[in-house]
Order: sequence, then C-alpha cells, then structure tokens
Amino acid sequence: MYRGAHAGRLTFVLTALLSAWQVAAAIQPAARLSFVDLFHEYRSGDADRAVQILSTWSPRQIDRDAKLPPGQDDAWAKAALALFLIEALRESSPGATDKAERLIAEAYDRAKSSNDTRLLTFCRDWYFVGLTSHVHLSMDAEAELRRRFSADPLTQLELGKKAERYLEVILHPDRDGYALGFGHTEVHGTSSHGPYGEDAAKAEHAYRAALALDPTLIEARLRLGRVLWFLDRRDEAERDLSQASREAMAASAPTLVYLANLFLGELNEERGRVDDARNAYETAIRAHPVGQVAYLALGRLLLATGRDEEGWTAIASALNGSTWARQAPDPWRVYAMDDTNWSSAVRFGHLRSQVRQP
Amino acid sequence: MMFLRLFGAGFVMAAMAVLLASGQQETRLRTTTHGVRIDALVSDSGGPVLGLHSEDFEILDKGVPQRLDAAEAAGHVAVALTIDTSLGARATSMRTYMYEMPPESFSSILRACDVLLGALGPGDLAALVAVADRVVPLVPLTRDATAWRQGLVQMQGLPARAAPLATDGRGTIAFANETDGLMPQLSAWDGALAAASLVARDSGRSLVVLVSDGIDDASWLSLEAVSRTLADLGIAVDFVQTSKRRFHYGVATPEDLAKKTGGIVYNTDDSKLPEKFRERLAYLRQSYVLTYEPRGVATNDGWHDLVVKVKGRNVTVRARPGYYANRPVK
Repeated sequence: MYRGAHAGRLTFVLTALLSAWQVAAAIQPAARLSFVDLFHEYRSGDADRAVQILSTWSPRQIDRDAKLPPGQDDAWAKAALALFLIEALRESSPGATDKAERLIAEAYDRAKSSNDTRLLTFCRDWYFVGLTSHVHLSMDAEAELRRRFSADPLTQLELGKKAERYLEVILHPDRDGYALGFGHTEVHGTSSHGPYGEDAAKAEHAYRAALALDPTLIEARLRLGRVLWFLDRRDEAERDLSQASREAMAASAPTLVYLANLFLGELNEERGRVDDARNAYETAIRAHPVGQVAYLALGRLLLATGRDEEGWTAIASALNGSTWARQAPDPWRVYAMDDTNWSSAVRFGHLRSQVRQP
Repeated sequence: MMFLRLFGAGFVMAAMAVLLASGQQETRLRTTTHGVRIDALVSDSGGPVLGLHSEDFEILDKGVPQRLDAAEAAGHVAVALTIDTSLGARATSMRTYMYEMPPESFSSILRACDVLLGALGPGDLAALVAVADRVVPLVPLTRDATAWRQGLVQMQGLPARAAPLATDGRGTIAFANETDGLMPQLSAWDGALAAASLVARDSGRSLVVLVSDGIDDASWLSLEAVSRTLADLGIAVDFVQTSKRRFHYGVATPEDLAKKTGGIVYNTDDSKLPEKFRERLAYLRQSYVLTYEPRGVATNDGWHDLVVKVKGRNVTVRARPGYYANRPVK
C-alpha cells in the first residue's frame, strides 16, 4: 500500500475531526436550526454557512433529517439538495453519499422525461464534480456519465481528461501526482504502447467521440494531439495540434493557440527540429504574452542550444512586469489542473448559482 | 536582523574542506555564440589559491589548447533567493488536507530567508523571487539590504491561496472565488530557471537558493531539463527545506535539483544555517571566471571535453568536464 496515502488519510481524518470541532464550536447557536431552515439558508441565505453547519452533521443525522418538505420536492429541489449534500461532504470526512446520489438520479429522470435541458446539464455537471472532487461517491460517476450522457461532447471531453491525467503522472514523475488527485502507484495497466497505453487509448477514444459530436470543440482536438504524442504517433499528433492551433486562431481563443503551440514546440524539440520548436514557442508567446511557461520553454531551448544571451533574455521576459496580482496562472497550469479537485471549486460555484433562490 | 555581517577567514577554510571532501562540482561554464565561460576553483592543501592570471591557466577544448581572454576572481556572489509562497506552505484549510502543513512552515521559510540574506557579504547581491503556481520577482538584483527587508515584508502579504480555475473546452478560463483555492501548486523547476535569469548575467558567481516545504506539482519544465541546463551553465541550486515538509514516495524533491546542479541542502531550523551559508558564499567567491573564444574546434558539434590546469603548480582545479556546443536539444 502506498505509504503517502496512509499519511494523507490519517492527516485527513485528524484534520476532519479538528475542523468539525472548530466549526461546531464556532456555530453552536446555529446548530439548532432545523434542516428545512438550513436548506432555506443554503438556497436563499448564507450558503457557505449552511454548508459548514451541515458538514458537522453525522451521516446518520443526515440520513434521518435531510429531507425535503412535503410538497416542495420538485426536480430542482432534489437537485439542489443533492448538491447541498455533497458540498457538505466535501467539507467534512467521507460519508454516506447514497442519499445525494439517489436524489440526483431522480432529478435526472424527471429532467429527461420533461426534456428540461438546463436541469439535465446541471445533473451532468453534478456527476462531473463527483468525478473530480475529493467527495467519495458510492457510485461510479464515470459509469453513470457514460450511461446517461454518452451523446454529450463535453462529457466525452471530461472522460478523456480523466484518462489523460494518468498519462501526466506516468510521464512526469518529477511532478507530484497528488496534485492531480492520485499517486504514481495508482496508474492503470499496460499495453503495447507502454505502461500508459490503456489510459491513452481511453483518452483518444473519448476525444475522438467528443469531436465527432462537436467538431468545434477545440480543446478536444488539442488534447487529442497531445495524447497521440504520448503514444509516439507524432505525425498524427502534429496534424491535430496544428489544426487545433489554426482553429483556435480562427475562433479567437488565444489560450488554446498558446497551448497548441507550446505542445508543438515540445514535439518539435523532441524531433530535433530546433527552428520549428522556436517558431512554435514564439507563436505561443504572441498569442498570450502574459503566459510565463512559453518564455521559459523558449529560453531553455535557446540555452540548451548555446544561445545564452537570447535564452536568458527570453526567460527574463517571463518575469517582466509580473506582479502577484497581474500574473494569472499560466494556461498550461490550467490545462494540467483542469478536471481535478482544483477546478471542481469552479464547478461547485457554477452549480450552486443555479439552485440559489432570491 | 542579521544583514551584511562579515564572515571570517576560518569559515572559508572550513567550507573548502567540507566541499572538497564531498566532491561537489563547483564550476560554471557558459557558452555563448561568441565565447565560453568557465567557473573554476583552484586550491591546494592550504585552501583556495588566489592571485592567478590568464597566463597561469591551460585550457584544452577537445584537446586543442585555447588562449584565455580573461581569468578573474568571481569576487562576489549573486543570489536569487527563491521563496515558496504556495498554498502548501501556508495552508490551514480543511479542504487542503492532503497538503496540510503547519502554519509555522511559512514563518520558518521567511525566518530562514532573513538568515540567508544576513549572511551575504558587502559585495554580494541578491534578488528575491516568489514562486508558487507563478513566478513573481519581488526585489531585483541589488545590494540594498533595505529592499531585501521590504521584499520579505511584501512576501508575507501575498495572497495565501491561488484561485481555482477551469476551461469550458473552448478556451475560456473560469475563475472561482480566490478563497476556494484548493491546491498548493508549486512550480519549483520553472521557478529555479526563471530565478536564475536574474543572476546569470552578473559578473560574479551566480547561485539560486530555493526555500520551500514542498515538492513540484506544476512545472512545465522537467527536473531533468532544468537541472541539465543549469548544471551545464554552472549555476547551482541550493535548497533550504523546512523541518516538516510534504513528501510522496517516488516523487522528485528539490533535493534532487540541488544534487544535480552541485547545490547544497540546508534546514530552516538549523542553528548553524548562518555559518553554513556564509561558508558557502565564501567558497563561491574564490572561484575564477575564465573566458575564451574557441579556436581550432567546431562550435556546433555537440559535446566538447574540457581540461583546465594551472601551469607548473601542484594544485587542484575543479572545473566542469566539458560543454555542449550548440548541441541538439534531445
């Protein structure tokens, strides 16, 4: 067993207990709120506070008391409660998620029967956060997504990203895989493509499915190109990355132009095509001049090929005018961290905004 | 505060003994389109050998004798103090349980930085850089101790969390509330190379010092790429670690970067940290900066073996064994 995982879980449990005690101590008077009041607070009042209070409840208490009032159990209320429950679970130790899973399934069924596309999207995104956050669902969120949303291009993109994460861990042992939600020992099996072939094949399949459903989904093509490069299918990779770059330029999506050319630069470096690599990095810089990584990649390339002065100038450019407030995280870090617990905060926020009532 | 303290000659000797015994490679070599620069340390049984001139050295580049253009003592050290300000070093939130570190961690990082800056000599320079999911220069390369102090104060005021974000599949990046930040996001390898750019072109000896409790989880550049590049250029990365730090089995740590670049590892809570760092700086100041224009050899044919000797003297010269001339990247 992975010893880091033991330490992480132990830390988690201890911290959870401490946190629960601290929260309980801080909100003692409010703890007497009924669930109906708490749910109302979540939808119409201080949602963060409501989540904190619910996170101190035991699974048994939640199972017994977390119920919608009679006559107020429409599909959106069920969806809202399903979200409230996993938000609370996200704040506390892993607990029973059965109730939340049941509620979202019911909401999905009603959305499907009434053709409520907004609610269907909500349910899909709920499964997305189940897939990416540290909430440990009883069900297999990936299987549920495949079963319910296989014709949705963004679902395919998400499934592809989930498989692609494993590739990053395998190929970059010098980075902490826990940032991506798992450790290096948890990667999947082997294939003729190497130890990451199974996940690469899954990612490729998902991205191709996404593009078949929506050819304008540029990020799917970008990621497909990167996965093909992982699989050593470099000519195909170059074609898809170049196409992603062209499409992103046409769609005025500079961060995707940036990423496509960052990956093209890396691919060209590996093929020993220094001038092409340099051109790609410079294209990335022109597309998104505030990104730092492309400057670093270009600078390192120049240093590695003996052009020190140009190299250091390029690297220093990554820092020029950079302040903490102005320097947003590089698109590469967004790419690497998307579809992880980190990005799930964005999704939780988006989901919550849909169930709030004035 | 311990800024600008003088160091003693005894420390120099002790540092020499320790570093020579540990077999550290303490040289820097920089190739440019016009010439080659080598940092070399010359010593005998009595310690560093000073007062040498270009005519005292013999350089063989791929076996071909070269004429030195200059041989100067480094004289001072230019330090890029690279400080981990990531969430991992500062987390207190329940949500960050896998990365939770005691809040004292960041305090100890800042205290260690204060100690390191206090160990610099009057001629030394330092730049301060914050590194997390981004690399932000806070103080440019300077001898101004007041600016260093202000930089450390500024460091304490940086946001403790990074804003989480996600894409929509079409290039739009969505940001969440900054207080929802979940990840530590330390780009140590990227940060080390970026920090090196602040000191690499200084006339003195360049050194990157990374102070962190963490492990890299966000760099674009690999450890191998950064360590090879910096090692080729003779720029060492020293690593100052906190007493409690994140560690995952099988994942590279900043110690690896120090090891691969000829750097040294210290602990933030080591009571002898000031002395050790002063010794380190004294050692680096003794190195010679040798420059020459390659003659009689190709300049784009890959690896060049180098031999650096001092004519007619029974001394030890620590110099890198070679360099790449416009070498292929991979």
